Amino acid sequence: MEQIISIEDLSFKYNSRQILDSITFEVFEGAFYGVIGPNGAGKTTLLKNIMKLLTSSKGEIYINGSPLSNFTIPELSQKISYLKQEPLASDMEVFEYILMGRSPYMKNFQLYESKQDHDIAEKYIELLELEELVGKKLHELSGGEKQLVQLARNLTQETPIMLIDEPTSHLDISHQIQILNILHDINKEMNKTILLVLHDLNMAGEYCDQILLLKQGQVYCEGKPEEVLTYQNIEDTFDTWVIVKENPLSGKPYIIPVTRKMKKDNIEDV
Amino acid sequence: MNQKFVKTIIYSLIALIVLLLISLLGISVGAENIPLSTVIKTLFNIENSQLYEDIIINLRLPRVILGFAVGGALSISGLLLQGIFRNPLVEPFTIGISGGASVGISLLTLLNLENIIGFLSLPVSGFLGAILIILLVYKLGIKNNTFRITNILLIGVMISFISSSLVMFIMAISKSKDINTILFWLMGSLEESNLKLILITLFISIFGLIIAFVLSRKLNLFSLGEEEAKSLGLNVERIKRLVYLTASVLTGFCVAVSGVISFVGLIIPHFMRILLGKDNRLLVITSYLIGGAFLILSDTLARTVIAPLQLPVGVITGLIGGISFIYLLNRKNVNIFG
Repeated sequence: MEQIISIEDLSFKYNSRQILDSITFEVFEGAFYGVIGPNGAGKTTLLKNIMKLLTSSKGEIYINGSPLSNFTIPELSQKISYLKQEPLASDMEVFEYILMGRSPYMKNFQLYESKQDHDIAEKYIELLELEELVGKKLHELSGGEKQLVQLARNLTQETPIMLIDEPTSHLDISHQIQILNILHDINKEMNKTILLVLHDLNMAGEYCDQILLLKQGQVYCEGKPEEVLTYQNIEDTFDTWVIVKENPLSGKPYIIPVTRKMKKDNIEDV
Repeated sequence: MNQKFVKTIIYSLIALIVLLLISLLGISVGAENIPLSTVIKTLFNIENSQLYEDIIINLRLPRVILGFAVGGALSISGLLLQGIFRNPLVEPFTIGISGGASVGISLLTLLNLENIIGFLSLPVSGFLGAILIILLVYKLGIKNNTFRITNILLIGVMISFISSSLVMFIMAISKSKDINTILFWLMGSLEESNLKLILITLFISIFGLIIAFVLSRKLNLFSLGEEEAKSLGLNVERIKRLVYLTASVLTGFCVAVSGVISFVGLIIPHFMRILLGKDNRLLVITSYLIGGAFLILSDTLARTVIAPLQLPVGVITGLIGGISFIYLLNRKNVNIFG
C-alpha cells in the first residue's frame, strides 16, 4: 500500500482566523478515510485545500508523492474529484450535469463530449440505477436523488481519489445507508481512495477504515474507529457526554449521546 | 454526429433565416418603400435602377450590416457576462463601459477637439473612454490574484453613476449645439456613413462571436458555481478575465460606433434562454443572430413609425424588447436563473 495523499504541517488562515493549524496525516491508497470533528473544526477547509479551492498559508500537500503545486487545474481534476456539501441548486438536466464529469478530459477547443464520454456517463448512471432520473431537472430531485446524481457526476470524472463532504447530512436513515453502502462498494470494488467528512459518528465508526478527529483546526487523534471513537476523545473534542458501546452485529464502536436528563437521573452509573 | 451539435446547427440555421428575412424587410421598408423583389434583384445585381440602387446599396444595406454587427455583439456580451456573473440583471452597460464612452464623447464635444482629430473622432474618443474604464475596473477587480466578480459589478455600477454625473456636468457647461451632439449620441443610433468603420465593426463583432463560441462550454461549467467548476478542471480565474475582457471590449467598440443602445444585451440572451434552454453552446450563435435581427427590426421601426422623423433606436429596443419579454416570461412562467 502506497501513500496517495500526504499532508505535512498544513496551516490555513482565513483573514486572521486560524482554521487549520499544523495538520499532518497520510491516506493510503484504497483507504476509506473518515474526517470527523465538531462544527468549525476545519473539515471542509481541509478538503478544499486538497482540491486547491483554497490555498494554504503554510505546509504542503502531496498527491502520489508530488506537491500539489505541480499539478495544473485540469491535471488535478483528473486525480481528485470533489463532492461539495451544499446540495445542487440548478435547473440543468440530470444527464447534462453527470456528463460534465468528463470536462477534465476535454481539450481546450473541444466543445462537445465524445461518444466515449457519453458511454462513461451512462455506465455510472446504470451503476447507480439512475436511469429514471436522467431526463429530469436537478431542482426537481429529492435530497437523496440529488446526492446520488452528484455521486454519479463524481464517478464520471473517473478519479482515483474522491473527496466527499458530508454526503449524508440532509438524508433520512435509509438514504444515509444507501449512500454509504454505495461508497463502500466503490471503494472496495473500484479501488478508489475515499476521503470523506462525516457528521454521524456511528456511521463513521461503521464504514471507515481509518478516522481523523479534528479539534479547532488541529489533529486531535487518528487511527482505527475503535481507537478514535472513545468516550474520552469525543467528550474532549465535542464537549458533550456520550456512552460508547460495541455494536452487537459489527463489533464497531457505537455511540449513545447522554442528555441532560439522563445525566441527572443516572449520574453515578456513567 | 453529436446530437447537441446537430441541434446547434439546426437552430442556428433557423435563426439565420429569421435574420435574413428581417434584413430584407429592413432594406425594403423606409421613407421610400421598395418592393422586396426589387430589393433582391438589386442586391444580386440582376436589375439596376439607379435610384433604388443608391438607397439600397449606399443607405440601407450598410445600416442593416451595422445593426447586425452591433446587435449580435451586444447580445453575446450580455450572454457572456450573465454567465460569469451568474446574475440575470447584468448587461453590457451595467459594468460601466458605456459610462466611460459617454464621458469620452462629451469631453471631445466640450473641448471641441473634433476639428483637430478629424472625422473618426467620435468613435475613437468613445472607444478610448470605454477602454480606460475597462482597464480601471479590471485593475480594481483583482485582489489576491482573484478576479472578484461581485466587486466588479458594484464598481461598474458606481462608475456608471459617476460618469453620468460627469456627462451632466459637461452638458451643463456646454453650448446648446454641443448638448445636441452629446444627447444624440447618448440615445444611440445606427446612422453611420463611414463604410470602412461599419466593416471594421462587423469584423470585430464576428471575431467576438468566435471567441464566445469557443468559451461556451466552459461558461456552462460556471453555472455550477466557481468552486465546482474549478474542481471539474476549469481554470476559473483565466476564464473570468477572458470573458470580461472579450465582452467589455466588444461592448466598448459598439458603443463607440453606435452610442448607447441598451436592452439588447439584457433581453436577447434571456429571450433565447426561455426558448432554447441554458446550454451556452446553443445560445451563443442563436443569440448573436437573433440579436442582430432584433436590432435591425428595431431600427427599421425607429425609421418608419413617425417618418420622416427618426426615433432613437434605443427607444424601440426598450419598448418592444421589454414588453415582449415580460409577456414571454409570464406566459411560460419560467424561472430565468434558478
